[in-house]
Amino acid sequence: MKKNLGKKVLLIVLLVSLLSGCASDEAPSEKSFVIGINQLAEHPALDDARLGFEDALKEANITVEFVYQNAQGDIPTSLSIAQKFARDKVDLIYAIATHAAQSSKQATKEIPILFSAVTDPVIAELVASTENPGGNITGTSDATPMKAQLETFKKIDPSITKIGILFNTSEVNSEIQVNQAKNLAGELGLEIIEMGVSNINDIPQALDSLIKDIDGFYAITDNMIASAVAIVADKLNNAGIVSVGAEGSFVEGGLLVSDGISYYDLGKQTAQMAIDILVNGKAPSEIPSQSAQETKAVFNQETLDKLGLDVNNEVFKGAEAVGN
Amino acid sequence: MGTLILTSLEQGLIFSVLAMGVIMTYKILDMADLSVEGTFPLGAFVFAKFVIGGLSPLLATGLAFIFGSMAGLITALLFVKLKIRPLLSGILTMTMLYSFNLRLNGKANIPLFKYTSIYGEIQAIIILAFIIITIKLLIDAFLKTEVGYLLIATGDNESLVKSLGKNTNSYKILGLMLSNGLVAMSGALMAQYQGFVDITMGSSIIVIALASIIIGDTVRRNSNKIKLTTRAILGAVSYRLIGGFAIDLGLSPTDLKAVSAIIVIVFISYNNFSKPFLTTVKKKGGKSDARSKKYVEEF
Repeated sequence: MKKNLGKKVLLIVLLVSLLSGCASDEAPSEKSFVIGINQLAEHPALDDARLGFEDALKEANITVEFVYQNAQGDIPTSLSIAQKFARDKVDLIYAIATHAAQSSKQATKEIPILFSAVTDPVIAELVASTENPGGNITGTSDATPMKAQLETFKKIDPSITKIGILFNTSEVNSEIQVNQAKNLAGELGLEIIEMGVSNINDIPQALDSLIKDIDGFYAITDNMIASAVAIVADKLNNAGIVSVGAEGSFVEGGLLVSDGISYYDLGKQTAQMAIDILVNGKAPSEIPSQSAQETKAVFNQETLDKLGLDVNNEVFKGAEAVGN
Repeated sequence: MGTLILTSLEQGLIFSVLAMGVIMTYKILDMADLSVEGTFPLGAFVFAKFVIGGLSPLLATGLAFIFGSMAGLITALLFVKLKIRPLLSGILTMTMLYSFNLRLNGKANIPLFKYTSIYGEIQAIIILAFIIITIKLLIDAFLKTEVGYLLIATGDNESLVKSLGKNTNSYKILGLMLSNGLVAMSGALMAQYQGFVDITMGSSIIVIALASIIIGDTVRRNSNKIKLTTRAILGAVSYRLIGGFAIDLGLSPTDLKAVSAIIVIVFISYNNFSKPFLTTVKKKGGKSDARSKKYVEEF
C-alpha cells in the first residue's frame, strides 16, 4: 500500500516536472536584477501593464531577469507566488492588480513592491497616502480622469442627462468608480443610474433594463464589463445610446469614444519607478504613487457612423480612429 | 525547499479546517453542500467586521464560526422544513450569502493590514498547528459521543436511526451547522493569513474541499484506524503542497490550473481502480466505509 502511494507520488512529480517547461529559478547572475512579476489574471489590460513594464526596462538597457507568474484569478495562489518571490529574495516585486498587490504586501515588508492596475491604492491600504506611501510598496494607479470623461457626454450632446453605469458587484474597484462618478455627476449636470451584476450572464438582461432609463452610458474599468464589451456595445449602439469608455479597449470593442489611460503606458510609467528603485537606490516610501500621466483618445468610426454623429465634434479631434 | 513546504503547510492547515467541515456533510451525511462557497467568505467578512469594530482576533474568529453555523442552519431548514433538495438548498444559501457578505461591510474588498491577527508576530504555522489539532481532537471526541454516532448513522442508514425513535432531521441540521461553522472559521483564518478579505474568496472553494477529501482518502484506503479528520488534514495539506511545488518549479502560468485538475484526476483514479476497492463492502454512493461496518457490528 505504502509502495503504491510512493509510486503515485513519484509519478506526479515526474508529470509535473515534465509539464514545467519553463525555466526554474536559478541563482541570478551578479550583473542583472531579478524582478518577480505577480500578475493576478490573464486579461488584456493586465497583460498590457506587464508588457509596458518589461519593454520600458529593456529599452533602458538594464539587465533584468523577469520571473513571471500568473495566479489565474486565485487569491491564495497570488499569495503563494508573492511568498515564493520573497523567499527567493528577488530585487523587486511587480504586482499587477489589487489582489496581487495586497498579497505581495502581506508576503514581504522588506523587498520593494511596485503595483499597477490598482484603482485606489489608499482604499486598498497598499499605501498610507499617495504622497507618502510609507512602507515598501508604491506604484501606479489606473484611476481614470473621470471628470474629463464624464464631460464628454455634454460635449457630444448637451441634452444628455442620465448616464447608465453597469458594474460587477464583486469588484471593489468598480464600487469605488461608481461612487466617484456619483460624486462628480451633480456639478456636471448629470444623473448616474447604476446597475450591478454579479455574473456575466446577467449582463444582457441588466442592460436591457438599464437602457430604458438612460441616454448615455459610461463604461468604468471593470474586468467583467470589459470581458462582455461586445454585447454591451451591441445593445447600446442598437439603442442609439452615446457611450464613453474609461479606457481604449472598450472602444475597440465597440463603444463610441474614450480619452483614457493606456495600460501599456501605465506599465512603462511604473518601469520608471522601478529604475528609480533598482538603479538610483531610492526606497519605495520616497516615491509617491502616481496615476496615469498621459491619456489616449480613441473613437470607433463604425459606432460614430451608426449613431449618426458629427466627426468634427471637438471630442473626436485628435482622437485615433479604431475599428471594430 | 524548506520555506516552500512551510508556506504550503500553512495554507494546507487553514484549508484542512475547511475540509474537516465539508467532511461532515459530504462524507458523514452524504450530501453535497454548496453553501460553503458562501460560508467561507462569510467567515472572512464577519471576522473583518468584528476585528475592525475592535474585538480581538480570537473572538472574531469564534464569531465567524457562529455566523457560519447560522448559515448552515438556513441551508438545513430549507432542506428539512421546505423539503428543497440539499444541493439546491446549498446553492440558495450561497446566493443569499453573496448579498449578505457585501452588506456586512459595504465593500467587496477589505484590507486588514492594520489589524493584529490571531497569529501575531509568531510564524503562523505554530498557531495553526495548535488550532487545527484542537479542532481535530474536539471533532474526534464529538464523533464518539452518542450524538456523534447518531449523526454518522443518519448519513449511513437513516431508517435505522428512525427505527430508534430519533428525529433524523435534527442530526442533519446539526451536521450542516457544524460543517458550515468550521468552513466559516477556515475563511476567517485565511483572511487573517492573507491580510485582506475579498468577496471572491469563496469561488471554487468546494473544489479545494473535495480535492482535499479525495486525496485524504487515498492514504491507506481501507484502514479504519485513520480517522476522517486525519484524512481531511492530510488531504488538504497534500493538495496545497502539490500546488506549491508546481509554482516553485516555475510551471508555466497557463498550465497551473490544468495540472491541479490532472493531479485530482490521478488521485481519484487511484481511489477508484486500486484492487482493494473492489473487494470491500460497498455502501450507497460507492464509498467503502469500514467504520459503519464496525458500527453495525457494535450495535
